[in-house]
Amino acid sequence: MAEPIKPEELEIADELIAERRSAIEAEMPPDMPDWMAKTIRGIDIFNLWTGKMAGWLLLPLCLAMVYEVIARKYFIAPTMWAYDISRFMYGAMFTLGAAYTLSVGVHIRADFLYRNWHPRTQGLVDSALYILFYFPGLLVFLWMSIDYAWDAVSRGERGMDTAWMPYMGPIKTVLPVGIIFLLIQGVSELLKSLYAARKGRWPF
Amino acid sequence: EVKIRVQSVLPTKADEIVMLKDFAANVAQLTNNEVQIEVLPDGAVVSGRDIMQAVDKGLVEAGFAWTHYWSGIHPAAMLFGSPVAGAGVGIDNIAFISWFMYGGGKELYDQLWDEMDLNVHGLMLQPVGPEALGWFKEPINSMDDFRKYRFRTPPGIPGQTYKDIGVASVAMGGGDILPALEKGVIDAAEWCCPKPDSVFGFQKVLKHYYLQGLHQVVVNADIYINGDVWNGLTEEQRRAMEIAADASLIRSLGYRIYENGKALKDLTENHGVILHDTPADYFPAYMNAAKASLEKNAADNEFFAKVWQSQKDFADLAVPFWAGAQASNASLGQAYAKQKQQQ
Amino acid sequence: MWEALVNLQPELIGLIMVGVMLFAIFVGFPISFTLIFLGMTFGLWGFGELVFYLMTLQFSAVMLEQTLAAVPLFIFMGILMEQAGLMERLFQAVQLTLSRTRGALYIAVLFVSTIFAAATGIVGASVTILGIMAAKTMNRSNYDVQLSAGCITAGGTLGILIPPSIMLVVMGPILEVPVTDLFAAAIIPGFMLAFLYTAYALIRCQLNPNLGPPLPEDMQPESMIDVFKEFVLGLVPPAALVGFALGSILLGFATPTEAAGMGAFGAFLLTAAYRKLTWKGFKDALIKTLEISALILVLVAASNFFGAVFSRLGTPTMLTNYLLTMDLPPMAILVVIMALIFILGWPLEWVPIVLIIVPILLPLVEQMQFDLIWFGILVAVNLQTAWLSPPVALSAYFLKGVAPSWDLADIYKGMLQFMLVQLFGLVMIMLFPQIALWLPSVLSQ
Ligand code: NA
Ligand code: NA
Repeated sequence: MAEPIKPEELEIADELIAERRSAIEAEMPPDMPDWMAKTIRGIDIFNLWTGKMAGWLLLPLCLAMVYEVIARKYFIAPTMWAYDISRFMYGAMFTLGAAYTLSVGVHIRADFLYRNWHPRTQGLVDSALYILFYFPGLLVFLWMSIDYAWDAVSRGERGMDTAWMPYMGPIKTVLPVGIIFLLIQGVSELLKSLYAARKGRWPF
Repeated sequence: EVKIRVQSVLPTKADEIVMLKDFAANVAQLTNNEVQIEVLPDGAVVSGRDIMQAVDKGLVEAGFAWTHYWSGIHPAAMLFGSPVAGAGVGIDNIAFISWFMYGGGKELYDQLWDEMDLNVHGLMLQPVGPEALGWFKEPINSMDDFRKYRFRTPPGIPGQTYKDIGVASVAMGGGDILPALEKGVIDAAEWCCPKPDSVFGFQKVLKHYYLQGLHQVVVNADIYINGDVWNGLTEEQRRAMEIAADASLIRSLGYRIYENGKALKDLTENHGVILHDTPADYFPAYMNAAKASLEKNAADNEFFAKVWQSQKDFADLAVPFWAGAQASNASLGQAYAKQKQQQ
Repeated sequence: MWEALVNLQPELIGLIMVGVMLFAIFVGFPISFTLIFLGMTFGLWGFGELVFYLMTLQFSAVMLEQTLAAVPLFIFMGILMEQAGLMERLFQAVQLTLSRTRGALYIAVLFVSTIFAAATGIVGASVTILGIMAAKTMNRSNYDVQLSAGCITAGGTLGILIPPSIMLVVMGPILEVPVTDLFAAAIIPGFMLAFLYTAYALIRCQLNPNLGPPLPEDMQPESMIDVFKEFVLGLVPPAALVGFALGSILLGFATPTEAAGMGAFGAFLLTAAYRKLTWKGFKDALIKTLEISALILVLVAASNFFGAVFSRLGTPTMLTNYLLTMDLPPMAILVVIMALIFILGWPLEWVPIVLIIVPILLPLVEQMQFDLIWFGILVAVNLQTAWLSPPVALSAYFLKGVAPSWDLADIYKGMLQFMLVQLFGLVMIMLFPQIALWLPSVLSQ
């Protein structure tokens, strides 16, 4: 018989999550160079922080919707802003949270082959993909999105979906910021994969 | 052979697309099939709100929307696409064409894209208005009645103006409107004109229809061609497109009167839709608020002021004649419509 | 050779891209990033560096899509409900009420999962919580492991069909139909499936009583009044929440996104009212909501980009035209489409299928003039089988995780039985579209 299950400790919500791990609580292996351990931990803590911040955006999102419903239904006083605020909060939330999500290994993998490979192979494949595709791809993406956000900021562009016509610069700037977080997290992930490729086991 | 892919902001079956394809066929014929315009539906390459950026960068060769769709990039776009309340000086869609062709409008329109810092060339194609005030759950007899209803307004300044006159204006995505009306989340809404409105399906939920409104008296759809693509065309090809564009102005005006007429007849005769005259106090209220809004924009933006001044100068010259002449047509037409109703 | 490759017809490049995609995602790199790499590479090949700008525009378009703001809100609602343990209570209530019936636990599991499905859109939570609550009791009552595992996993999948459903929220904008219509259309098929599962389990029990004997004496309730009290108390909170979320849509308070906000807020109040709200639990719910939302929405953005590249290459038009020249009757094409989705459901989960495969098929579906709401429900029911098709069926691992004494092979076998029941339901909806379309047509009158 296996150990008893404690319901409160189960990760019941993560139905789509193939694996999860965390550098925050984990001990770094002793044979990992000091600079590597420090970099990994530093980056993961940084993005834990960005993730926590992004998570709070749910609150204004939820409250804007509740306020709009009540104001409109009972006071015939719909707001100018709830619609735009809700999509800005939601858009910022997942864009800024993408890096944290990568750091805990939550981005879904079709891993029914992958998970049977030796960690050395997994590490090799991941490192190669990070170097060949991830960094070049995201760097170009960053460049383009800076251009895109800059256009919105410099033109003082306003949203045309509502009569509120909010400035679009802030939400469009969130995109390059989210990509920068992803690039930073990529360094940590690359180091983890390189470690696995060399030592034949994942650091944690 | 040049292939120009146009991405629109509309589904493929919309009247605007029918007329856009008519324009494309004329261009092909005038250029011995050297210039081929292919129409892509909404969302084919990018989402509707990004079309202008996509054309500017050359991701698609051309885009199609209404000029005021880009008011977020430059407020003056509104004066070309849907001058609110007839630019506050009574310009209707035929007078608009007069201003555009002979009153200096076209020169300013060409300048608009430079003001936006975009590498595109625009061709005005389809005047659509006047748009209806909208659909209501119950009849309204005054502005006080109007203010009791949650009204889905158009975006931008025309919508802001409703807020300014105390209407409970609701912002909502296009896909949410009909379900929201069905369930009573909102009580009234506007979209466009009889044909598009009936395709949209308002008549299934609301029966009280008001044709006379001021928020979009004039509505113009145009095509934007990437500047490099445009400059790459030969002199003759460009001229052919301009001629086809001018032809499209009158062809779509004619087409839309015919199509909207058929649709309205169907709505009133087969769907129990009741037409009402808009309450009289709506017009001064909306007109004044619109004017205030125009003045504010003119004070904030030089190019906006310049375009509006040109429209006011034109109105000074031509509106008294045109409105005076139109009044007799309108009352004659109204008299005929009333007579038909009573029979 | 090189020149031939560079000048290859864009439509063919798109075809190669999809072929490569079907292999590349099984390399096991996060699917979102794999799609981004593929789109960039093949887009660059097909139409040059403009592809990078397309990436930016597509990502930004997803960021600004207000209907998708319902995703994090519904997820948050589900997580709070599950933290508060409200479903556990409901299960105990039903179990006590039906204590003397043969196969009662199957009914209890399926009834609770139906209610749960109407309260949240999360499958994993359903499967796990039912596993925790029911597996031990089912073992003790000598229930058949396969049938039990099948009931729990199948019941769990109802969550993504019965509204609110994240899958339908994501599918609405793709099909360009109102999410409310999809919600309305999913209700009857959802209950029909719950009924079919129950019927299947009970018929098996009738044929072989050993599969589900009545509750043992020591677990029987003392008095009927207690049973009734427990039943009401267990049923009220989830019902209230369903009322908050679904009710606000159906009663005309809110759009789906606003209703999701109401549901999330309602779950918050309910958790507080049951004194299950802790600061730590709340922060935990926020960060978990972020994880799942980022996972889904980054994938939405990535696959939109992938699809936009595909469409910019012109391949969908070419494929549609090709399939149309095959001159099959519409029903045959529908069967082919459904078979394709079913087969892809074995190795993939619903997210990539809805986001990548459905848009590719959509032009064809529109050509055939199928009702898009009906088609959406067919896809949704079909995709539920993806949850029940091992080996890539996460629900099996969740269940194994909370019921370690159950053999994984038995869980697989149980799931497969219910997958067949599910397919029967799918065929029913194909043959009788009114199962899906009747309710939306009534509601819109
Ligand atoms: Na659900
Ligand atoms: Na599967």
